[in-house]
Amino acid sequence: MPFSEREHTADVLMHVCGATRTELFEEAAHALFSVMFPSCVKEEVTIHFTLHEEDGERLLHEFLSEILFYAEVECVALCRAEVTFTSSGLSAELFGEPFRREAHAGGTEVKGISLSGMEIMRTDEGWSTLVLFDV
Amino acid sequence: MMENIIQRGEYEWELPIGSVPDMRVPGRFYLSQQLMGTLEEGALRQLANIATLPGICRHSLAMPDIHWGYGFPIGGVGAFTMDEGIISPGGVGFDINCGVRLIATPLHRSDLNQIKSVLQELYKTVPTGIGTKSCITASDRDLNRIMTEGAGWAVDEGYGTDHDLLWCEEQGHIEGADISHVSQKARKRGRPQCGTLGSGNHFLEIQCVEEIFDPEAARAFGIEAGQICIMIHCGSRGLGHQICTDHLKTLEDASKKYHIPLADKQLACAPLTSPEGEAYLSAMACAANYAWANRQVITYLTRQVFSRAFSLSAEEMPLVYDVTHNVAKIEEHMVDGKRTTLCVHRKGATRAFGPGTHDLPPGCNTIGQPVIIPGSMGSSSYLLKGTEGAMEKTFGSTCHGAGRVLSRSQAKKLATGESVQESLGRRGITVLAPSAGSIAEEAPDAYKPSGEVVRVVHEAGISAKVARLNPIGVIKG
Repeated sequence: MPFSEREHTADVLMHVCGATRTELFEEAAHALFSVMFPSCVKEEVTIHFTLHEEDGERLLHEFLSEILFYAEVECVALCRAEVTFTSSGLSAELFGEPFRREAHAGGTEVKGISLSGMEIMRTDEGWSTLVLFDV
Repeated sequence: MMENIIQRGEYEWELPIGSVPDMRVPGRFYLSQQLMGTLEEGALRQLANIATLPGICRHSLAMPDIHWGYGFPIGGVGAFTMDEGIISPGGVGFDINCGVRLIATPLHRSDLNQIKSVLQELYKTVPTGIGTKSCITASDRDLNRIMTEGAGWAVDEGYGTDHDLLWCEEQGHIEGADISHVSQKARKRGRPQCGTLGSGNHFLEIQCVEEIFDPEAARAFGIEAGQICIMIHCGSRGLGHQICTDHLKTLEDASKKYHIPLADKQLACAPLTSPEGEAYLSAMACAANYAWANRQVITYLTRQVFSRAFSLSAEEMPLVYDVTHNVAKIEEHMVDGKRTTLCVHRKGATRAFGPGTHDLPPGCNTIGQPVIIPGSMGSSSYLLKGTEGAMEKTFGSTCHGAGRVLSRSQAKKLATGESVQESLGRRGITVLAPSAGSIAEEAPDAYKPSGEVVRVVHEAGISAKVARLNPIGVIKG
């Protein structure tokens, strides 16, 4: 599993893995989508943004926080992310559906991405980190 | 960690210095033997981590609803001196001024035969769940006033009464809000959401006063047995979430700049006297004020439904009180016999000022501040009062709710939303929610028993029971 939920009493803690750093970031976004928009499957709309931030946890935190911002202000439910690293940060494409209450009300609002426990590790199998979503 | 704890009183426990490296003071927490089994290693570690921060005064503290969160544990309290201390969003949370308010009505249980239709009407009227927008869109000018005047803006716009402000912690706004520290992103998120409940553990409940423990205080708070009340639990929505996110980044840099080692990255902080610390404090005040305006607009929407159903005026549905349980505030407390100004962080903890303190509502000077403790969906909520004991021991703080014992995924494995809804229905409690999953996540069994948590704060003397309220209709966010 590229991401799996770990026990956490108050919030949602995800263990995220990827064969590459790109996959790690994309799977972290997919973990977020699974909490917020479990019923979103269609790719009808696209959101694009770029980030200029040093690499590492900070970039991952910024990336996921930016997704929360765009999902809310653009009123979209999301299901897939594509990440391309650039010399100064990253470029992201997000895919999903216009938010419809009747279709997407089952999701849980994520209030923020905690820095608590976030540590990107490089192992023989690839990349992994824990990500904690405040719900 | 567990093996380190020392019992200091029947309900009072100490986590000594040394439980994690660099603790400056011991940790203190309040728990009964019965709740001891719910104490998590992760939550204790977070309590110890607070004690490593510069300027921490006396103890790091946790209330009996303590559970594992991020940064501070939920139920955590940390007071910091103004000269050496810090401010941290890890002691406040993303949902700045998440809080609870209680509204009284002149109705009794027998008046609520049409509970289901009233609840349906409320569900249609109060925007609830993920992706919802308010019926009002705040202009830029409105938003500036919301962030500086809080509930006062809402009352000015006709969404409440002057009485509402008198019966609200800090009269519904805190000083020091500076809108220049709020990003355009936060403003964009905040504009359409003032008057929305949100999701997760947020709720709107119709409750009935089941039991009065302290008739004098109940009278002063305007509460009597059998009365129907409405409880609203929500916070500062996307605006508060974005303010926390924005400042977390600045404060992470500030922690490095001021050489503050962090046991947990979410404890990113800055000295209270630093520009970064002041910027966060003033932006946090903007979010806190937004949350009070949000709860005031929801109060207005709720009153409209009750007005239509029962021909009641807003004056007949007064606010009992409104408390915040995610905030950092500048307060004066007695420390070693001296009046000292402190920055008190309460993360999932409620202010519980005792008799004779400042900021008490009219007629409560000898009684203390009303304190509202929401139960979980199926269990009792409580109205308490602040005590001298809280002023002495906990910087005027008490618990904020029952406190989770099961993660959301565990709760969903244990029961489906439908089965929880059915079993609550058998007990006369109607639940409406955007999804069955959100009901399962907030099932009563996912929480500590609220009665036991409240018994601990009562017996430990850090607040005192006034009344118990039972839910009869619940709208889950």
